[in-house]
Amino acid sequence: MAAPAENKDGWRDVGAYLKSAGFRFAALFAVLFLAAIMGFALMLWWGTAGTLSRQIDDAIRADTIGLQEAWRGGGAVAVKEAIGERLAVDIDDHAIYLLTDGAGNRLAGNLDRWPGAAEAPGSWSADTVRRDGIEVPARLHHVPLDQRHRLLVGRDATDRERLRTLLSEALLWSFAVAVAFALAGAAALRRALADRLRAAVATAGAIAAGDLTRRVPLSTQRDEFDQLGESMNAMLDRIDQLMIGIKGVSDSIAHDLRTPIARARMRLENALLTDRDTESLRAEMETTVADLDGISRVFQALLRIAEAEAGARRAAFAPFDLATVLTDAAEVYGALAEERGQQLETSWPEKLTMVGDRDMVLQAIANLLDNAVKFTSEGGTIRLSANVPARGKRQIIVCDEGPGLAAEDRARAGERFFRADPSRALPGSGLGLSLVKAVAALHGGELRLGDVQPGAARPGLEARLTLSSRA
Amino acid sequence: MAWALALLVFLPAAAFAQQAAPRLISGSPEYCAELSGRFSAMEIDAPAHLRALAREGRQLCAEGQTRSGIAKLRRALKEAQRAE
Repeated sequence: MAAPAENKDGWRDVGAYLKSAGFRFAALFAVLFLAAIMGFALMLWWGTAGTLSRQIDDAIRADTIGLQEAWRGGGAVAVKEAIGERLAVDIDDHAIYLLTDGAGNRLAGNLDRWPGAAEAPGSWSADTVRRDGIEVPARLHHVPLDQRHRLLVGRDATDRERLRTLLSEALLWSFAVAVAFALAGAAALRRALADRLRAAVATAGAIAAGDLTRRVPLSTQRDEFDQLGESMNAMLDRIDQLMIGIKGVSDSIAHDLRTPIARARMRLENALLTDRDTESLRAEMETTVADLDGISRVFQALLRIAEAEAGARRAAFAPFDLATVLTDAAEVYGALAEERGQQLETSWPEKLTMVGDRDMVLQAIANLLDNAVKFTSEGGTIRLSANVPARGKRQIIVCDEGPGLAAEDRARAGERFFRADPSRALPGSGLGLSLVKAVAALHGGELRLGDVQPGAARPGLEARLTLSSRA
Repeated sequence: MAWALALLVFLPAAAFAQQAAPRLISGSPEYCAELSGRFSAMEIDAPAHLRALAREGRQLCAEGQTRSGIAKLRRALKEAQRAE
């Protein structure tokens, strides 16, 4: 009962084999190889047997012209004499002539009677004639002379046929060897392809099974398969990084939101369990609502970062004046800085048009200013400026007088929920610079962080946000 | 029955005669004689080695080796024509 199923599997295997890229490449190689051999064989045939055939025809044609001239000069007698002369010096004994009269009687030539294949006047034919009782191939041309006389001019084609036979045999054997080589070469090619792809297939299979640590082993050949392997490994590294990033973000969300949620829960529980007056309850609830708003803001920031990174907001790109956006941001954060005894200095050209997402750019500037205000001590100065660093570019620079960022922290500053040690005591979610980086990437730009006063005790932080002014 | 037997015997022979290829007749003793006569016409002016060649040809023809004899006579004739 198992036989039909096995047969079915067998046919499926054959089908898969025939559809495989290795087989198709190998078949293509075999076909091209055989086509090249066939082309070579045709050229060889044309250059040898073909040439000999053409030479025979040319000789017959030349003979015919000579004999026709003799006919015009002296009629049958002259042709008879010309044939006799030609045959007398035919050392190779290849020439064939026959001149007959109206009754079909032989007047001259070395053929005993007219061959059946050459009946049609003017015809060229391949026939056989008997020489010493053996049939030999001959090329014959029927030349009508007048109503009664007709002439047959021909050549013994034994040499040509012998060459053809020799060539045919040689080419047949060559073709058989070529087929064997093509099949062997195709099999070797298919095997080589399968061998080179095996490592990549095994790696892909292991990764599909969940082992993300596997990488495609590379050879020292540095060929296309190694390039494919390198690309696959780079892709896997990137996926690995993203997975680590996602895991980190998930961990951070769980860690950073656990505290405010637990605090809110505790407040609500206390309010539930203890007798309090209405005012006290209201105050507790307001604090709890503020905590929950904070959680909501974190999620909102995460969503905006995700939107910016996905490029989903690119459809909302429109021309706007960056100078106006800077003015709006400076107005809000200037007031905030003033409250904290700080100064906000601004400078930018009167007009800075660009194409982009106005709200996202405003949010990015606000985040940079928010950090600057947060980290600059009372009495400090914050500088907000903008310029055109190059054609098609807009640059926004925010400098503060805060503690700055260590070099290793700058590298991580765009990671979600990352907060450098000095800032842990200050309010914030660690998502501000992540959003700025995402907005920069959305606008084809970048965020660079540096010291305002390198080497100083409080070097300050200089954030340069460069954006492309074109969509 | 007799005529049927005759048909069986003669029909294939007749068919063979009809299908048989034409025969080259330049290997006959008569042709040897024809070539010999042609050479005789130019023998006086021919060089000695060609006369010797023709003599060999005639000798071979006389011995019944007509093909070889004809070949030698043809070579002698061709050389003699060239010499003229």
